[in-house]
Amino acid sequence: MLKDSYFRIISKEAIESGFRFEVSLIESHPIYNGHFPGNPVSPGVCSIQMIRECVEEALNKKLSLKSINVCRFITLLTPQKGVHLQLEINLTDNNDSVDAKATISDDGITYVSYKGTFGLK
Amino acid sequence: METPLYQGDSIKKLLLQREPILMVETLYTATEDEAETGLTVDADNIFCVDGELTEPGLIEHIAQSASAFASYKTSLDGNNEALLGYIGEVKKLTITGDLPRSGQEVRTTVKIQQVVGNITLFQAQTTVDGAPIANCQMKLSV
Repeated sequence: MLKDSYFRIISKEAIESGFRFEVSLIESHPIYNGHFPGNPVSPGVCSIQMIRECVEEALNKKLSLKSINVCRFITLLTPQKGVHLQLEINLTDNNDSVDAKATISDDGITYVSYKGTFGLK
Repeated sequence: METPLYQGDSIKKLLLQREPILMVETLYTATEDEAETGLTVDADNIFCVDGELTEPGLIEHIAQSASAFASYKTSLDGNNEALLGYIGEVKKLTITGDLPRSGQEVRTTVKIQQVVGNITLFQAQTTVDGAPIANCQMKLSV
């Protein structure tokens, strides 16, 4: 939904118990026409979707979003700030679902911390 | 027959979000601490895939329901500007039913649990045709 229109994956590497992506937000995405007019702010729910799409990319599987234990939006993210983001994901496989812990950060600033469960489609 | 408080274009008086991410269509009812909103799913919605409103779209709808309710409450005190609302936290979200499809109306009840400064904690439940499909707690800063 958002990959290659809202964000780009610059790199992907496997780390212990998960994956680390470098991603870049795309400022020209039409969502910024409405969020907000003249004041582009990256919607929190798009960060959630970006985490889902990176987990899908890592596992090469389509996922449903079953539950979120907690997702905190710690620092306001904008497309100007989001040119070089680190998206780190730890995954635990439960056969029919995957628990994911993720953070979106850049140079010591954490934007989003996420803990939730995805279902395998 | 319900007479909505705000519907269609007039909802923009309560929200700063605009197309393509305007995710509340109707404010049906509002009391001191609880409100009900609605959104009819359009296949062209930016969060729709194959005619189905995906989970992030539902979460955004819940957040804007809370934001519209917060603006509505301040409008009763004579403030006619929509409030800028940001999601601070989503907690204990569970998707309990099938995702809504194009043409179906999603209804959300948001209930204020606690207000600390400019942060409001809401409990939200979303239904389609009366059947629950999602619930969560959300902190909104305005």
